[in-house]
Amino acid sequence: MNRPLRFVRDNALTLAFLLLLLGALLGQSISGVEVYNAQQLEAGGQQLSWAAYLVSSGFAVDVAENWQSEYLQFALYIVATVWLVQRGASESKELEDIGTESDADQKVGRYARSDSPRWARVGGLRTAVYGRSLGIVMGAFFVASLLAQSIAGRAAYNHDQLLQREDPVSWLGYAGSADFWNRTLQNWQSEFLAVASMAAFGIYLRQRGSPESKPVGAPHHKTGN
Amino acid sequence: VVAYRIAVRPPCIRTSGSALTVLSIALLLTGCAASPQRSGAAVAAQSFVAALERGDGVAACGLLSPEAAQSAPGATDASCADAISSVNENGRSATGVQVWGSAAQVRIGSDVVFLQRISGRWLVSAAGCKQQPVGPYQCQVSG
Repeated sequence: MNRPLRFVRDNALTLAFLLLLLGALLGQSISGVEVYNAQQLEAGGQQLSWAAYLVSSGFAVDVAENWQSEYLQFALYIVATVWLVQRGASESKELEDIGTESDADQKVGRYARSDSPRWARVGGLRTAVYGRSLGIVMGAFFVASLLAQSIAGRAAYNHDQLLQREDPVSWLGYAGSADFWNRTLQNWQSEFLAVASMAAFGIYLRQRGSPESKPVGAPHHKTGN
Repeated sequence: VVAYRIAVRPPCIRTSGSALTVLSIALLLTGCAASPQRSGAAVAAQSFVAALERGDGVAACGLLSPEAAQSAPGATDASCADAISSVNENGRSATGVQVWGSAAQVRIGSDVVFLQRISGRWLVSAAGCKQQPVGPYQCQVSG
């Protein structure tokens, strides 16, 4: 197998989903500009080209509101599964492992292996931060996406306010508005449902070959995979 | 001759480099639209009010959006130029400009003018607007 092919195989999961992301964004932008222009026609607003729609606040808020909820879902799941378990779930760890576990279990400090990441070996603050880096980064992406949603959402909302002959609102005013929280909560509820479903379905259902599933023949009471 | 003074928020500044992202967020948080758009909307509103002040209905109607110009006579047979003369714009200076996308709001004294950017030109879509306790402004002309 040559190098490019090996690179693709070794990174297929990331690459495939990045391609799917681009395809979905393209589809969203094409359908989105049609919806936007139809609404503008009714409101007497200006029509936008596809390129102009791509950098518009309307497209940005629609993208950001979904991104923030996805990052919230994974950040919460990553952190919550440290302490919350589900007996029989493939996604859960064993019930006796609740908590941040011992240094030996986590292979940090003096228990680190020769090939452990440097920050896992050095101890102190760096190891503590590195030991939480996945949750920190996912949480940071969530906060950044939520902030972007609030900024772009305010711009789109104020544009509509002006078309309806109403006053624009401040950023704080928008952050406390029904529009912001309706957009936010309708995304959050679907993410929470998906997590609860995944935890529960994984007890009894199997997906042969998937690391997200227990082996097909594993008993229902077996927790984790 | 009435001198119209545009009093707007602090001018937006330009920069480049790594501070651009942070600045973009800061500008968006403060609602600071690009200066040319703000001044374009303000100038259009100024010109409209100035035309009304000197009784030039033809010029004022030329600054209205097509929908606003069409709705100006209401149910009467009057032309836009005749009908627009009844619109009261008592302000002497613009006290605030807000631009959001292709829509803008310019405050002139106690009155408010709404504008839309159509084919690259700012046009008045509603004028003689008064704030209501609840809901949209009530405008003498609105398209």
